[in-house]
Amino acid sequence: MPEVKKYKSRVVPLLFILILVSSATYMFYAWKQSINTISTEALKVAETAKLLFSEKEIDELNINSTDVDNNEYQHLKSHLMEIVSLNKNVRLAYIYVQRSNKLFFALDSEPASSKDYSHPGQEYTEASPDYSRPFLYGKSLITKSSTDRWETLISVLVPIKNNETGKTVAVFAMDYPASSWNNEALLSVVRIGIITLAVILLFIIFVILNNNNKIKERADQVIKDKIKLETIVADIGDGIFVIDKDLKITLFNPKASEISGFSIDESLGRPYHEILNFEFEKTGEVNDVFIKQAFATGKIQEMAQGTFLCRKDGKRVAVTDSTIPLKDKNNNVIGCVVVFRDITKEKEIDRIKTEFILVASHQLKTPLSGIKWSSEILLGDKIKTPSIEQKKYLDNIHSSNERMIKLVNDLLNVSKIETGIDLTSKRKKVDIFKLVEKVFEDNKTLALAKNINIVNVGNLNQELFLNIDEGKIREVLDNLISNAIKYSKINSKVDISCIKLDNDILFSVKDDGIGIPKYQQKRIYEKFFRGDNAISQETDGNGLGLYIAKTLIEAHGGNMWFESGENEGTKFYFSLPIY
Amino acid sequence: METKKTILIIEDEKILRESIHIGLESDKFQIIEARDGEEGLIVALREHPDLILLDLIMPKVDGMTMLKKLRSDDWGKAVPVIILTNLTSSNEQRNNDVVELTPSYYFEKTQMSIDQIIEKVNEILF
Repeated sequence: MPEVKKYKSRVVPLLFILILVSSATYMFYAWKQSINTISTEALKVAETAKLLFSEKEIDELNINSTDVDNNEYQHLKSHLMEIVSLNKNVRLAYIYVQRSNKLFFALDSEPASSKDYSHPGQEYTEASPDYSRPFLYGKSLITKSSTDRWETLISVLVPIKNNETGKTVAVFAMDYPASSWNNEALLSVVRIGIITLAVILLFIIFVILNNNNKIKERADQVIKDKIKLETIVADIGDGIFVIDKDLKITLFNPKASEISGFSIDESLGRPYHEILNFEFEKTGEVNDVFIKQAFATGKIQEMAQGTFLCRKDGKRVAVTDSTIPLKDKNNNVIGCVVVFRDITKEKEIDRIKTEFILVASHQLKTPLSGIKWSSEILLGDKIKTPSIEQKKYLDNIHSSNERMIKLVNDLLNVSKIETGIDLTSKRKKVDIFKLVEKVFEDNKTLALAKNINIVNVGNLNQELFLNIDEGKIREVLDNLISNAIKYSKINSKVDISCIKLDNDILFSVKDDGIGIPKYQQKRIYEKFFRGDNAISQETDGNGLGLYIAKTLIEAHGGNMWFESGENEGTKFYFSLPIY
Repeated sequence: METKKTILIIEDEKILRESIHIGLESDKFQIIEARDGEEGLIVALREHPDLILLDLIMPKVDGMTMLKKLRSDDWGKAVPVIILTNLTSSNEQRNNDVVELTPSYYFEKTQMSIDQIIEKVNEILF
C-alpha cells in the first residue's frame, strides 16, 4: 500500500508538467502556423492585386515628377489607393523599379499631401537588400520585419514581369505593419492558452475534489476509528491511562477512575505521580520504575509483583500489568500507555487456594504419618517381633503408605506448579557436588537391594556453590537416581556424574535398564504418563516425577533432556546455570 | 551411670505421639508427653527437658506460638527444638520464625522415619 501511495503522489505533478509542456509546444507551433497562414494569405492578396498592373502601363511611366500629370499614373494610383482601402491591415501599397542597381518609387497609394507620400522617381533609400531580390530571381517574397521612416513593417513583394522576356520590370509591394501580423498570431496563441488554462483549471479542480474526497474519507475513517478506540478504552475491563513526555495524563479511562477513585476531569493534564501512587506492598516505597524504565528503554515493562495503588480515599489496591511506550517516527519515546488491573480478588482466590492446598495436604499427611510410624514400630525391634508372614503384610502396608505419601507430595507439588507459586522461593548457596553426593549415598541401600553397582563420577571432592532451592533440587536428584535404580536390571550398573562446564553444571544419571520406547518418548514429561514397559515392570510410580523434575529444573533456569531406547538403558541429563 | 536425657513430645495426634514415644524409648531417654501447645509449655517450663519434639498445628496453643513463648524464657531460649509437622515449609513467615527461634530444626513428618528421628535426636543430644 505505501508503494501505491508513493506512485499516486508522483502521478499528479507529472501530469501537470506534461500538460504545461504540451501546451507550450502547441502554442509555439500555433504561433508559427498562424504566421504562415497570414503570410500565405497576404501573398495571395498581393498576387491577385498585382494583376491590376500591367507591365506595359508601368513601362509608359517616366518614373519622375512628370508622371504626376499623366492620366495613366493617376489611374494606376487609384488602383493602389483602392487596394489599401479594401485591405484594412495594409499600410501602404506601391510600385518601385530598379535603375542602375538602385530602387526608385514609381507610384504609391498615398495622396501627395500625406507625409508618407513618395513622389515618382524618388529613390527608395531605406530598402533592404530583400527588395532587390524580385528583380534578381523573378519570384515573390515576404521580407523580414524592418523599421524604416514609416514604422516596423513587413513587405509582400510581387514582381511585375515582361510577358515576353519574363524579366522583372517593376515590383508591386504591399506593406503590413508587423504588429498587425503579430497580433493576429498572438490571438491564436491566446486562444490555445485559454484552452490550456481551462484544462489546467479543470485538472486542478479534479485533483482538489479528488483529494477532498480522500481527505473526507480519511477524516471519516479517523473519526470512526477514534469512536471505536474511545469505546474500547471506555468499556475495557482494565484501567488505562496515557501520559505524555512531561508525564502528564492525556487519557484516563473510566476503569482507571474506578480503581483509583480519581475522576477523569481531575486526572487529565496532571502529572501522573501527583494522583497515582504505585507502591511496593511490603515497604510502601514508591514503585513507578516500570513507567520510568519504559521511557528509558523504549520497551514494554511489567509491574513488579506485589505492587499496590494508593487510592484517593487512602485505601490500597493490589494491581498488576504493564507500561507500553509510545514512539514517534524517529523511534523517540513520546509517552506511555499504562495498563493496570485490580487483582484484589485474584490475590484472595490465590491465597484461599494456597491455604486449601496446604491444609488439605496436612490433613492427608497426618493419618499417613500415623500409618508410617506405626508400621515402622511394628516392623522394628521395639515391640514383639512379627512372624515372617505378618512382616510381609506389614511391609506391604508400609510400602503402600510410602507410595501414598509420595503421591500426596507430588500432587502438592503439581498444585504449586499450576497455581504459579514460586518454586525457587528458598534459594540459597548450596554446594551442588555435596548435594549430589548426599542423594547418591541415600540411594545406595535401594541399589544394594538389587545388587546394582552405583558409581558417582564427576567433580568429586570439589566445591561449587549454586544459588538453588536445595529441597527442590534434592527432589529432582532423588527422582532421577531412584528411577534409574528402579528400572535397572538386577546386578547392573548406574553411573552418576556431575561436572562443571563454563557457565553451567551438567548432571547425568545413566542406567542399563528397560529404557523408554521411542514411540512414547515425546510424552515422557506429561503428567501421570508412564511408559508401557515401566508399568509392566514396576507397579510403583505415579507418572508425576519427571513432570515435576523438569518443571523444577526449568524454574531454576536449567534444562532437562534424555537419551534412551527400549532395552538400551536411559541417560537423563540436566543443566543448572552457575551464578 | 549416665543421666537419662529428658525428651518432651508435644503432639496432639495420639497415634503419632505414641509411635515416637515407643521409638525413642531406651535407657538413654526419659520421655514425657504433652497434647497441645499450652500443656507443652507448662510441662517444658516445669520439667526443663533436654530436647523438645514439637508439632505445629495443635488445639489451644499452636506450636509456633508455644515456641515463641518458650524462647522468651531464660531457660527456654536455649533448649533445642525439633519441629515435626506436615505443614509444607513453603510459608515464608514460618521459615523466618524458625530462623529467629533457634536452636530449632524443621522436618516434615512424612519425610522422616522413626529411625531418622532417633538419629537426629541422638545427633543433637550427644
